[in-house]
Amino acid sequence: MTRAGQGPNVFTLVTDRLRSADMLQALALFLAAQLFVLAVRWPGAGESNEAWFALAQARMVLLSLAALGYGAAETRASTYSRRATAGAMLMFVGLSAPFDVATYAASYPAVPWWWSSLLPFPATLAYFGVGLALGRAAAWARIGALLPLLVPGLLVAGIWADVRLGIDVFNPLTAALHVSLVHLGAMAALAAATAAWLARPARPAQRRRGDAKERG
Amino acid sequence: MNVAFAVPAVRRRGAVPAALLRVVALAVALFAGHAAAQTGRAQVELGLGGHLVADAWNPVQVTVRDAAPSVLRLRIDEGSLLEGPRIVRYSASVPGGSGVTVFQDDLYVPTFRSLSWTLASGRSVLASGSLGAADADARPLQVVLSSSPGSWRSAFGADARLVDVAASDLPARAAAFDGVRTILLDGSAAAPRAESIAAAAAGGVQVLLAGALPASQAGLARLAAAGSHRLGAGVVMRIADDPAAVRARLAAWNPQDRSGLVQALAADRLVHPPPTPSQPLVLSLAAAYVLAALLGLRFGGAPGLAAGLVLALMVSVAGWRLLRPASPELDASRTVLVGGGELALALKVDERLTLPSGVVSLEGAGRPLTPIPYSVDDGTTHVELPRWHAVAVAVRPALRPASLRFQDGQLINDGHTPLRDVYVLGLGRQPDLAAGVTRAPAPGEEGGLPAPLARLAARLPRGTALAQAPEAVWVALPPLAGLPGGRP
Repeated sequence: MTRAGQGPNVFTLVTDRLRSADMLQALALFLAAQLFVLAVRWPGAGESNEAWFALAQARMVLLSLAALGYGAAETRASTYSRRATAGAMLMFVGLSAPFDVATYAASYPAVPWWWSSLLPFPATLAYFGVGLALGRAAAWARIGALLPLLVPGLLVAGIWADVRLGIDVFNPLTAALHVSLVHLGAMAALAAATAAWLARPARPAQRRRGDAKERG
Repeated sequence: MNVAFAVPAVRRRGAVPAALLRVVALAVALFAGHAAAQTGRAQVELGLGGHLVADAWNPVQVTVRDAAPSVLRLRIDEGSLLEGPRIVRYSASVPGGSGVTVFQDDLYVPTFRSLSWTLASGRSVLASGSLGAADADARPLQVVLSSSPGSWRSAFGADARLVDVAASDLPARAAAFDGVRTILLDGSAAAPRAESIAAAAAGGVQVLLAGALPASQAGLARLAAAGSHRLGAGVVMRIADDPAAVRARLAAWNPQDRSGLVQALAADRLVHPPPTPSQPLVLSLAAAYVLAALLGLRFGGAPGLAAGLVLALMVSVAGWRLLRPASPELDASRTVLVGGGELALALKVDERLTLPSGVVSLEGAGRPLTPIPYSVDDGTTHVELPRWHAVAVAVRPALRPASLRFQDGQLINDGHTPLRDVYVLGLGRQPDLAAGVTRAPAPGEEGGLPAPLARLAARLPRGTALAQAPEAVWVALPPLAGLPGGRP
């Protein structure tokens, strides 16, 4: 799987990361949360179907929170590990897509389907990058122990700033429900920066560790 | 009401002072009572002869001379102090060109707080005007076509809205007469077109032809050649040339409640939301997917993850195909055709349900039956609706040839489709009528009317025949002479 001079296969790394206990539990919890939302919001006969609105918001918030959290926790990890975790986060998006697609189909919102389907990918990667930056900043300020508070706090601060300023840049709650080019631009820029950061060549020591992990 | 007029300044010695002219012109404008505004090139007239009737369809006429194409825009505020403004917008493209261009249309005017209009060509306004709440008069018009209309004044009540309209101002569209109760002709004035009188009668107006008509009005005489008779939802009657006879007919006339028939049509929902799968089924399938994806990932490694992604794709496609309604908008319509003689007045209700929020557009001019803002744009009605909401729109009444009618005591199906659920109020159920069949109504089983017909029947006179066609309900009003063979 590993070619000479290159790192381990990304898909294998992502699979391994997803199979780790913490990630598998997080994925199970994430999907269970969507099942719960579906159970609460699915309509009875003759009622209007509003399931997608609640599910899209819950999905975006949970993805943002998970991406921020895992990003912050990967500050001291190797480049390969960061890539694997970022890939695993994107797998969260892919594996939860049926919930979004099915409820979107039944609810028939005015938002175009491509917005609902594609936005979570750059948004998740963007929040992962923000989490990486947050973790690094917390480590620099020697307040790493406060990360469990800083992660949701940052998300709440983003939502609060959007509401106060009347803009739509960071708020995942409103972003899912209507097309916002400002939000898309912000998320795309952050996602591109994150991807560029993750794409930097790994240091030799990290590469050797990655190769050994791949062989093992 | 703002009426634009201009008075030339008078400076010559001995001439009438300009101030006096202005006073006279103001008095003329105040007493004219016409909802019209004009410049040298354009004139806009709302209502029959400039007389608007609130809560009814009214004719709109625009006359432009040597002008470029223009757009007529009306803004009607039908809100209230409690609810705030509720705006109805109307716009229509008026063709232009050299010579005189006349544009005619019909517009539903609700009881309004304010009504304003502009006729604009590019940036230049050709005509404009406005009306206030005091001009929103819902009393129907009593139209007198006579060279001496004052002689008929005593036949009408003190509260009657008696108007004198030029015969040439009468349109030939049934909807234009929605706000008219009676048209009285005594043959002394210029004759209107027979089509206009036929349209008025079929639209629900009582047309009274007083006395003998002169030979120059042979067209109208032909309309009443068969004596007094029903035509569509109204009647054409020959009466004596006497105010007492007119008074008697006015007292006896009970016009068909067209608005009530429309309400009866829309009493139950025509469109229903698409069916939704039951919650247990959806949850079971979703839980099965989650379990399969997690197990595949846990025990399948990279192939398991790949299989999970493929499964996610398949479930997404299947969910989309199963749950997605075929169309974002669902619609249905119901029509009742009120016939008398050979014409029928079509009253149609269109109902549209939209799943996403947005503006729904219905072909044809109409008015929503619920109090919401809407606009009519070149014959298309637009209503902004929230998600999963429906709106019922009463379409502008129109005339059709009558399929079901009474003739010589017989019930005739003149159409091309068979009529079922035939029922004569007061006689009971009748056998189905195949296309082209004539049959004398006979006493039959009472009751058992389908719900839509029963609601209509409650608003129709005894002796009326009702029948269902595939897309409409036909109503044949009874002959004025009474129903032959009917029960007392």
